[in-house]
Formats: sequence, structure tokens, C-alpha cells
Amino acid sequence: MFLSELPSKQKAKIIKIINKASEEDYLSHFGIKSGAIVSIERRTLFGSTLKILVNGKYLMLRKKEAQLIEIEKVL
Amino acid sequence: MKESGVRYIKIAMCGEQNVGKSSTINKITKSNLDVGNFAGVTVDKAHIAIQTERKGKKYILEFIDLPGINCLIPHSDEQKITSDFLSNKDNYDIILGVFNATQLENDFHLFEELVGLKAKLLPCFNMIDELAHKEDLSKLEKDLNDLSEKFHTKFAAISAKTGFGIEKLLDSIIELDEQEKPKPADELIFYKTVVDHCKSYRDALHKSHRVTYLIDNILLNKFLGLPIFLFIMWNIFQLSFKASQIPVDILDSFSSISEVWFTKSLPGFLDLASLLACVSSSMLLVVSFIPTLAVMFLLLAIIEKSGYIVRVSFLLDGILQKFHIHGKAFIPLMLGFGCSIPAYISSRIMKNYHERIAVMIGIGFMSCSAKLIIYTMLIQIFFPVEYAGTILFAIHFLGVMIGLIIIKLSRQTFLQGESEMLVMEMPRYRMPGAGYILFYVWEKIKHFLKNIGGIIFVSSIILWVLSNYPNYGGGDPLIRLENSFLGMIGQATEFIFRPIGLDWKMSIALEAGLAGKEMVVATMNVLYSAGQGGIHAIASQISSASALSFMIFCLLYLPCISATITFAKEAKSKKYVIILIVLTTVIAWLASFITYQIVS
Repeated sequence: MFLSELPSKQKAKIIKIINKASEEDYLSHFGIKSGAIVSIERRTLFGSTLKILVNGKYLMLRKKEAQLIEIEKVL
Repeated sequence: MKESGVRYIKIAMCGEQNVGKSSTINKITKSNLDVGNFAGVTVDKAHIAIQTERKGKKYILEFIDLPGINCLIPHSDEQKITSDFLSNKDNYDIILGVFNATQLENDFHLFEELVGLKAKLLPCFNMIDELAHKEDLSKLEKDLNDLSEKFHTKFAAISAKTGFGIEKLLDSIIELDEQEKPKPADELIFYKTVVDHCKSYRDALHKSHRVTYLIDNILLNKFLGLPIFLFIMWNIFQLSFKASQIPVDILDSFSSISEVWFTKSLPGFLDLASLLACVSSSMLLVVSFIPTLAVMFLLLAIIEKSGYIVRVSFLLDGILQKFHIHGKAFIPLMLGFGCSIPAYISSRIMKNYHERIAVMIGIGFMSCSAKLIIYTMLIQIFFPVEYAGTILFAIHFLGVMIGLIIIKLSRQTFLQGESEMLVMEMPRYRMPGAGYILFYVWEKIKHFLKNIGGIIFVSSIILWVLSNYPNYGGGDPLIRLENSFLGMIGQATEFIFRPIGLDWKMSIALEAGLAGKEMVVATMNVLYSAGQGGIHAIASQISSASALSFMIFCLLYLPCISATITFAKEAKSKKYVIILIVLTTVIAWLASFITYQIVS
């Protein structure tokens, strides 16, 4: 499944990022890389922007970009 | 290995994979001279040497980047390279053990093994910036320094990402090279203590996030977030208007008194008295801007420094997407309420060139604090005071809306292109220290007084000369003004402004405003109070429809010269500067025309 589909407050592990290498590099600067544990903390009214928690940091990310991040739920 | 007067130190970099060994080397060597990769048997090792000088002594530091390892017993060919290299002590003088500061406990075993090699070992804690916030970093570093002194060991706390601590790392390498190897037992206890210490920082970081989390529950609430933001902005304008009221009242009475006073005290030098009255009232005008600006700068600074500005980017991202820019753009746009110059510079956070230019064009429509002074003055004269805050809010809102529409249109026409990815860290909230904020506001005010004060001083003299000559002397002051140089310039350009309800004096004020928007009020002060004293004289000379049209024109027309120059520098293209000039002028004229026609 993809990060954009993850219900709020649920933890998941990033498996891979389906993106151009340059963008993957950009995301990894923020700690968004395979293996990292991520959760969605908040969505805006129309759900177009997400506030996520990764590596103890809060980041904002667009739904569009979250659709490219493949994850698996962590129980 | 010693060369004449130069100490050559070989440093073996090792640590687990992904702890930032290579990025540390990259950070160190970026600003240095000698970079070389030597291919050979050991293809996986990279040797990079730099030259440096400490206390008059020259050093060559050669870094050997080794493949990542978990322990010294190799599990793969790459790891074998590392363990073989480390087992021959002639290969290096110092081992630089790179560890991830946010998870030091995982690396204790490796550290123990490295200590067991009995070589000089410098533990280097990377990603220290992820462990503590900027303001806590120096305290963390000091704590670690105290520990290292206690155990007679050396260490380095760095961030290969930001470059924090890199210079100190080089110092530590050289110091360690010159001293005896510490006792292994001390090294181990030092590392263990650091682990506990770093853990406490990590916990504190999470705790501080909890407060932020609670605040965000309200400020980022799906339904309340935007109304709260709009309410905060409305209050900012309400407060800055309140701050502007007192000084303008004082100023009014002062300018009428000053002219009489100068005339009385300088009998026989009427021209000098009139010049002094003109300059002094202009200078007082500058001083009278201070409370409004101080309130505006103070409130904007709190929003910016507390971390709220990033939250608003988050809230507005959905709306801004509709205008083909992303939430990040809110930051330069918001700074435009203060002054366009820092706003243009801060638009550098937008990485996509076309998107950035679109935002920069939009910044011109965000009403800057100098324009705020124009509105507060005219609102006090022409409109009911109880609506002042709301009128100010409405004017700024209009600017934002027009700015956004222009951004959207330009993104659809001459500034097309994909929007960049939006990833932005939301820092925890922190209350900026009162001392820091006051200093910040004071610096801005000082800058304003120094620059604008000077400009207004000189130009008020020029304005006085232009408004009194060539027909200096007796006669009706108003007729004299009309026949002055300034009157001639104003009347020559009046035809442009007549359809939007502005007389030649207002035209002059707008033209003078190109030098700096503060000049608009200063010019009006000189022109309208001629012979009558007091800026309130303006009410008898223009209609409120003209005043409104004038405010709209001020809101939308070309930013001042210095801002336009900054725009040109940042945009690096003449084409966009011309577009900016034409767009702002045409839109300002059209909007004022529509306003004037409807209202009158």
C-alpha cells in the first residue's frame, strides 16, 4: 500500500520510493527513505496535504508525493 | 611520515554503513585544496587529503574512507577490506570512528572493538543536529566537552549535513595526534556516559514535541485552523492601526505650531523659517511611523520565529495549489507585508525557477509596511475610525487576492511548469526570547530611521525648493504652489491620473513614492499642508472616492526602486523586470479606475 492510503496515527515502514533518483535523494534528506518508520499525524480539510512523523520529526508532505511512497503497516 | 615542517596525519574513517562517513569527508574537503582518488588494489577505499594550518604549523590530513562495518569480523569482501586495513597499524595514525548520535547505543560493540585495536581513536558523533534543536546544540556540545575533559579523551560532535562542528573535528584530530593515547577503560566509560547523555536529549526532544502537538491540535485543526489564522491577521492590522493613531494626532498639532514658531523666531528669514518648518515636520513624520512599524515588525517576527509561519503554509497549501504554487510560497508572500526586499530574497526557498518568479511577481501586490503608513493616515482622515482595522485588513486581503490571481495567470501563461515537491520540516514551537525579538525589531527600526530618515530629510529639502520656486515670494500660497516646478511636473503628468480621480498633487506623491513608499506621505504632507498647516487640510481638497482610489493605486503599483533592483538581482532576467513594471502599473491603474468609477 502507499503512504497516502495509511489511516492517521498508524505506524508503517517505508519499503520503497517510486520516483526519480533525484527526488528520492531529496526525500532522503528529510529521513524519508526505505526502512524508516512513518505515521500520518494530520491531514488538511480536503486531505491534499499531510503532516507526517518520521524519525521523530514532523514534516509536511503533499498527498501527491505520498502516493509514491510504498509502505507496509507495522503492528 | 614527516615532511619538512609539515605534519602528515593519516586518518582511517570507519563506522557502520549510513552513518555519514562519506558525507563527512565531502563536507571537510569541499572548501579545501587537494582532492584525489587513487585507484589500485583497494578500489573501494577513497583517499582524500587536505592541507590545513593550526597555530602556525602546517598539516596534511589524509582521510581514508573505508566501507561500512558492523564489527571487525568481516561478513563480506568489502568489510574485509576495512578489517584488513585496520589490522595493519602502519596504514594510519588515527582512527576516526563515525557514529550516529541518535542511536549511539547500537554502536557500542563496534566502539569496544575499535578501542581494542589500541590505536588512537577519535569518536565522531554525527547527525548531532537531529538530537538537539539549534538553540540546545551549544549546551549539548559543552556537556560533551566536560565529559571528555573528565575522562581525558577527545571527541567530535558534528553534523555532516549542516557543517556544524567540522572545524572543531579537525582541531581534535590534530590535538589527538599530539597527545598520548587515553586509557582504554576511560574511553569506554566516556562512550557509555555519552550514550546516556544523548538519550536524555532525545527524550527531551520528544517531550518538547508533545507541547507542540497540543498547540497544533488547535492551530492546525481542520475546521478552526484557517479562521484562527484570519482572526490573528485581522488583529495584527487592528493593533498596528491603534499604534498609528496617537503620533499622527501629535504630529498634526506640531506641524501647525512649528511653522508659526519658526516664522516668529526667525523674523526677516521667512524662507529659512518655512524650509525649517517643512523639514522638521517631515522628520517628525518619519518618527511618527515608528509605533506602527514597531507593532507590525513585532507581530510578524513572532509569527515567523515561533514556527507558526510553517503551519500556515501547511493550512494554505491546498488553496495555493489551486494557484499553481505550493504552501512554502506563503513564507515570502507573508514577509512581503513587512518589506518586499527580504521577501524577494526569502523566495529562494522555492527551488523551481518559474514558480519562484511567479511568487516574486505576487510579492509586489502584498502591501508592505511603508504602504501601511499611507493607509493609516488616509483612513484617519476619511473613514470612521471604528472600521479602520477592518478596512486595513480588507485592503491587504485585496492585495493578496490580486497577487494570487496574477500568480495563477502567469503560471498558466509565461511561467508554466511542474510545481516542485513540497517537503518541509515543521519545527517545534518555541517562544522567541523577548530580548532577541526586541533586538530584531530595534534593528529593523534603526535600519528604517537610517535609510528612510536620510532619504526623507534630503528629499523634503528638494521638495520644498521645487514647491516654492521659481515664484518664491508673496501671493496666495496655493496659486504659488501650482506655478512651482513641482506644480508644473504634476500638471504635466496629471492626465494619467485624472481618470482615476487623482489631482496633480497626488500624482506627484505617487511618483515620489517610487523612491520609497514612505515618500508618499512625506510628499503629501508638504503639498497639502502648504499655507494651511496640518495634514488634515487634505480632507478639504480631495474626496473620499479619490482617497480610496489613491489607496488602491498605492497598494498595487510598482514596488519602490530598491525593491525593484532586488527583484532584478534575484530574477536575473530583464524580461521579468519589464513584466513586473508593466503588470503592476496597468493593474494598479485599472483597479483604481474601477474603484473610483463605482464609488463616485
